[in-house]
Formats: sequence, C-alpha cells, structure tokens
Amino acid sequence: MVYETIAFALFALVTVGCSLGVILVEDVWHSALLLGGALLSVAVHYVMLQAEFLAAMQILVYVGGVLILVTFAVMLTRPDPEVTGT
Amino acid sequence: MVPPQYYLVLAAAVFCIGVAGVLTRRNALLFLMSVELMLNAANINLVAFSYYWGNVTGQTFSLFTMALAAAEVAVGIGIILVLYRNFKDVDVAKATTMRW
Repeated sequence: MVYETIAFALFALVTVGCSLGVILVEDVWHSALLLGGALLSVAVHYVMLQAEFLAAMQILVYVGGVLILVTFAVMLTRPDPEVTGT
Repeated sequence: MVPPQYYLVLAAAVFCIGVAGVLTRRNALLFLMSVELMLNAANINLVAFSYYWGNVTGQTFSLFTMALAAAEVAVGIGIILVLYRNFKDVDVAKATTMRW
C-alpha cells in the first residue's frame, strides 16, 4: 500500500517534471525528448492502474508513432544555418 | 490501491501545463506537443475512472483518443510543414496572411 503510493509519487513527479520541461525548454528538439519521457511515465501509470494493454498501446502509438512524426517535423523545420559554400 | 483522487490531481496538473504551453509559446510545434499533453491528461482521467468503477469503458474511450491523437499529429505536421515552406519559420505570429 505505502509502496504503491511512493511509486505513484515518484512517477507523478517524473510526469509533471517532464511536462514542465516540454513547455519551458528553449530548444524544440529537447522538448520533443522530454515529451517522450512524459509519455513513457504515463504508460507506467497505466500499468499501475491495471491497464496493461493500454500501456503497450501508449508506448507503441505515442512513442513509436507520434514522437517520430514530431522528430521529423523538428528536423525539417530547422532554421537554415548560414550556408557556407563547400 | 492508490486513491483515484491522486490520479485526478495529476491529470489536472498535466492539463494545466498543456494549456500554459499553448498560451505562452509561439512555436507551432510546441502547440502540437502541448495538445498531446492535454490529450494524455484526459486519458489518465479515463483510465483512473475505469479502474475505480471496475469496467473497461474508460479504457476503450482512451483507445479512441489515442487514435485521434495520432491522426491529429499527422494532419498538424502537414500544416506546419506548409507553414514553414511559405514563411520560412514556424512562428505562429508570423503567419498573418489571413488577417483581415
């Protein structure tokens, strides 16, 4: 009982900390990585709520699909570094 | 068993962080990520109530929400790439062509 509460508090701290990092960090790439951390800790919460299938779907759909799409967009919309001729 | 109130507080915190991200940042990609955070907060609520009532209705709704989030990200990234091609930036304050 008390162990469950401690585990919940720990992963709630990870979730809220990563979510705050997403909106406070300046670099978009770093906030994409922190979003991945937040989504993974939400999956851990699902396991603690006895929703294992949903946790697997969370990891597959969000971390496997959504985060890859966001990474593509971050890399494709980088502002051009000053083109130095080669 | 962790009381479901704790999960509701956690979901409220994550949702508020998402709203703050939409309201304060001007990068269009950050908008997308903040919307993802808000959808995740709604999912936590649904799963917590599903656990509390002992049936899987909330989990089923949560699966629908996940599919919606994936589709929404695909469409949103298409829009953001067009924005970048037209304005050479993803700052939402720069795209003012539809301002009357």
